[in-house]
Amino acid sequence: MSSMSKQKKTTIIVAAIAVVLVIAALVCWASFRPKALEGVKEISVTITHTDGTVRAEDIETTAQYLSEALEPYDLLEGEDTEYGLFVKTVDGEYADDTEGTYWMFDVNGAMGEYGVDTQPVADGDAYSFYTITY
Amino acid sequence: MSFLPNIEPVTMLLICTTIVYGAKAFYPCAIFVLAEGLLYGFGWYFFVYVYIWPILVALILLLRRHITSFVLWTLVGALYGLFFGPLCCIEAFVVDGWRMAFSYWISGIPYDILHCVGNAVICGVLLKPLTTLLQKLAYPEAKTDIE
Repeated sequence: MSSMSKQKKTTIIVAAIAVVLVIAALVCWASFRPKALEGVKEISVTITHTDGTVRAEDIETTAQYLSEALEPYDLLEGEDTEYGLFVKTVDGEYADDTEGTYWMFDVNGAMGEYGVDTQPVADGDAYSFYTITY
Repeated sequence: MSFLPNIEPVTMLLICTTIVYGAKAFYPCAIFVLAEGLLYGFGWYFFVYVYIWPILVALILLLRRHITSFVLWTLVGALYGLFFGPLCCIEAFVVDGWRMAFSYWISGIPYDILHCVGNAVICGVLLKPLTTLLQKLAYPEAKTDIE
């Protein structure tokens, strides 16, 4: 088999693999992505500042995601990225990511797995914001 | 091009540079990573860049003796875009564990697909002319065996 036809065969196989991988990725995304909930939800939000002060809010919201639920309280500021809001300031306190300091949040005691724009809000959820330095 | 999410010419440029210059492509790769750190700060994303772009250069070095088709190189670039998210998850896995890494990957899948398509278009359009030009400039008397 000539080198050119070998490359053509390899190209077809790699192209087919690429299509299969894209489809598989889409199936995974549809299956495992966080699902938003409708309706009224009551959540609690706690913010622990680096100086030890704590702010707590009980919020009633119809928002589907955490950033929307917190929007009326002007608690979050940050940079809009392609992955959603990269939170840099919470309740007026800025975390300098160039120094390795970040705002994090726990959901019901466990580290949040999503960003504030993609974290679905469920009734009874407790969110705790705090800073961490790597 | 930061206003276009996950659309970047870096993959194409590194493929092109590695095809022509071989292992010397690690030098512009290192300069690019450092420049990213100086421009955007040395946050967690910098550490992702420290490994993700050299991995691409290493991959191209392994493949360049076997691939003689720009179409195949375009597919390699496209697939690297698709795997960009999972590669970023290595950092998340090391720092925050597998659950965080998995969530990060799932959330990023639409952007990885966009990255894949973006790389395919950019490589499809620019890889051949740029690589040919670079080869002519670097080795004016050599004949290219890539079609």
